[in-house]
Amino acid sequence: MSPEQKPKPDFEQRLLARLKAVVAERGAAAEAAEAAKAPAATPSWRRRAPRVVLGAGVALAAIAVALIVSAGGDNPSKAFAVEPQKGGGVTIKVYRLEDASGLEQALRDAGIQSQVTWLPAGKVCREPHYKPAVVHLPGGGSFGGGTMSGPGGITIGIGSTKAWRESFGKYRRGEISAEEYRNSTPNLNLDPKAFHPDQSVVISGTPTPYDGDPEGGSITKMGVAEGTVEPCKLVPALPSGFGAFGSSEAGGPAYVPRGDEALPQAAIAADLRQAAESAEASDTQVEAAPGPGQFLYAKTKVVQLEGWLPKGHGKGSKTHPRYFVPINDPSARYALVPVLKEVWTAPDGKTHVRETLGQVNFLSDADQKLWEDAGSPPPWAFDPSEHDVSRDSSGRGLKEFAAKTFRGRHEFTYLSRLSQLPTEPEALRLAVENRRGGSSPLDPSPAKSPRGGATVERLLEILSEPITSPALRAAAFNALAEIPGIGLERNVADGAGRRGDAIGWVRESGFGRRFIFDPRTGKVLAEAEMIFGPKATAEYGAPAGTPYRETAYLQSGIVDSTHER
Amino acid sequence: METERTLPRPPSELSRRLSVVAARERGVGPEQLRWIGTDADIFEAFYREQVEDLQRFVARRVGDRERAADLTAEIFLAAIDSAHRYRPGRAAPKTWLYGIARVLVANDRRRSGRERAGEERLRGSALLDPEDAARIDARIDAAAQSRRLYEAMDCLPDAERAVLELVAIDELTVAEAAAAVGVRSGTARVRLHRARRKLRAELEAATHQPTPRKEDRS
Repeated sequence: MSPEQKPKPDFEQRLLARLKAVVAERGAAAEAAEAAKAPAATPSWRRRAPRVVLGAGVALAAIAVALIVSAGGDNPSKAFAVEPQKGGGVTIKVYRLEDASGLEQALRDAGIQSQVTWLPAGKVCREPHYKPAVVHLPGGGSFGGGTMSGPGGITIGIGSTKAWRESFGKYRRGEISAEEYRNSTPNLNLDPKAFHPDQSVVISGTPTPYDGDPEGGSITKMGVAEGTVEPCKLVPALPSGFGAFGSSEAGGPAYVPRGDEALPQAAIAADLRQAAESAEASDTQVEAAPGPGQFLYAKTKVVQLEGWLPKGHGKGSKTHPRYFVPINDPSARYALVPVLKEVWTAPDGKTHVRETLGQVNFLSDADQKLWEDAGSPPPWAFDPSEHDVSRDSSGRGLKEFAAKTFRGRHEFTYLSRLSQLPTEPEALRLAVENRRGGSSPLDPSPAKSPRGGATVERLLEILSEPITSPALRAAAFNALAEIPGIGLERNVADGAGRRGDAIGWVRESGFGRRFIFDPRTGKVLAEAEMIFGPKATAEYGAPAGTPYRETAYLQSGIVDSTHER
Repeated sequence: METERTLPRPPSELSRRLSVVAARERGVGPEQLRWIGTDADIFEAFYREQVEDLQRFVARRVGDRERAADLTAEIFLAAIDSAHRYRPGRAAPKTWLYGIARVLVANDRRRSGRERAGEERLRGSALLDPEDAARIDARIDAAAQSRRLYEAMDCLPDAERAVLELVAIDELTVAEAAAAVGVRSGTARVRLHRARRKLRAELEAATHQPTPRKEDRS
């Protein structure tokens, strides 16, 4: 192992590195202060967070209550009404999301510049269309925006928070109920004095169904802008089963099973039972955790969807612009980037990793050519300016580095938990569901229910572990066979070209997960995060069924050195 | 108002090494916790121990990958900043961290996502990579149900909500939740009872609504 080499860090490791730098700086500052026998000069940033922690209870309560939508809706003939309020200023009650320019005028009359956009259902303003800012309210607290939803419209108090404070006081003293309190106070209090001349409020909202009325409720988003506010350009809200601003519509199942709908449930169960039989009869490749001086060797092929920017703009440092990008950039061309990954894991969770870059395959031939004509720039993970990359004997990008598994020194302790799991199918399922010890028998929940979906996923994860006994694997497959409504597709190829049965789900986001197993060997061949649904396909321009990231399990075993395979 | 105090002195080299060893072997206990603000090695042990649970904690409340990353960074920064005020008798390290996290997430919920851009020392989302996305999204998706519950709690007063959140969403015991929020167990129990009753009423009043924040106006 060579610690000098740069590992390809994941988010957690990158964050750790940055945080450690902060701590080191503080440590040095404290030492210097000690040496000078004087209190450490407190940089301004240091004062902020603790106050958030300590003062939050009070200051946040004020903002929280200000953002609860009150249910007042007594005058439906007008879109909104302006009423004087106690202590000065006005209250604007918005009953219906209409007459946006009238509301802008009313806000202007009250001293607040604004942009109000009422949106048709399913649309949102394209972001960003203004520079966000924060205003500090004279009564304490700050406001930079928020989203409100509920029945009816919204109420905005302007100029004075006296009425609201009185109500809040009464509520705290228990003199009025929560409902009375909510109904008597605005959702939002704005003070013109808090706004600089170039600051304004940006409001957008759309009706939502409530209590059987298709437009009985509303969801409203508010922000504070500094400088020019561009007109709201309507774009479709994410068609993800979520409302326009991210609140869940129906609270439906987390997963929808996905598979060959023509395949009868009995055939699916038969495939799973066959896999169980094969698993029972198979020899385990790996029987136990590596002992001292040994390593668990695992070879996988990881195929990741990555985006490439033909013009290389925008991302990365000036000296090293990043041509491959986080994959939802609208101008990116998408490619599947395969990496052969070999990991030797020591008993303490320390790893030696060897990664070899495979052939980058763009989703279209034209994009492939564009990339090759640009000199085939490597993906970020194999960019020589970012990482220590060498070449293997056939000229492919190669990285070798020391790292640590995510479980760290606990890497193999979970094994004891796995080995304690029952090897009788129903008992295993109940253990996975954490429902052991019940008095009545519990039938399996269907795969499309949240519990059923979670059970299927957990069982498949157990099957994907490199060290599991044949009996446990058989039990897991048999338990899966009992769960109704599993989505299964036959003859599906994994990233390494092997074929098997695929069990998959689609999530509300259009992304999904898929495990491919071979019924003839009882092994999980690959698991993948998939792009299945319309949202995901629209976002990445990749056809449904493209893996976002797939791991194909190629080989595993116990070896005595990091040169052995 | 919080008076400024000097930071604790980093431990001497020997006691520091012992602390680091102890932290690595047995986790960062109450005795070591106050050093996480000034000792990078002890902080690392604390971070490794907590990061996974904390990310789940955030995912139970925040459905957006980038915001979740920003918050994770913010929470650790806040922990670093306030570690010297940690008192070992009051809450276990994880409970203490959850207390900080809860406030910051609630705070964040009341602000627009981009409003934070200018004032941050460390922007967690800038550290995200395409390779992290699927893993993080999976965690976020797995917590969808908890998030719905979290949103439904908008009808509750902050003090009651705090306790119910930690008990119902994060599965803390009442005593732990009380320690995280900084109240006595008895107080927490009363709040929990009230919060449950209100939330039940709220949910029954608006069974089919996405965010039942308030009573039906009829």
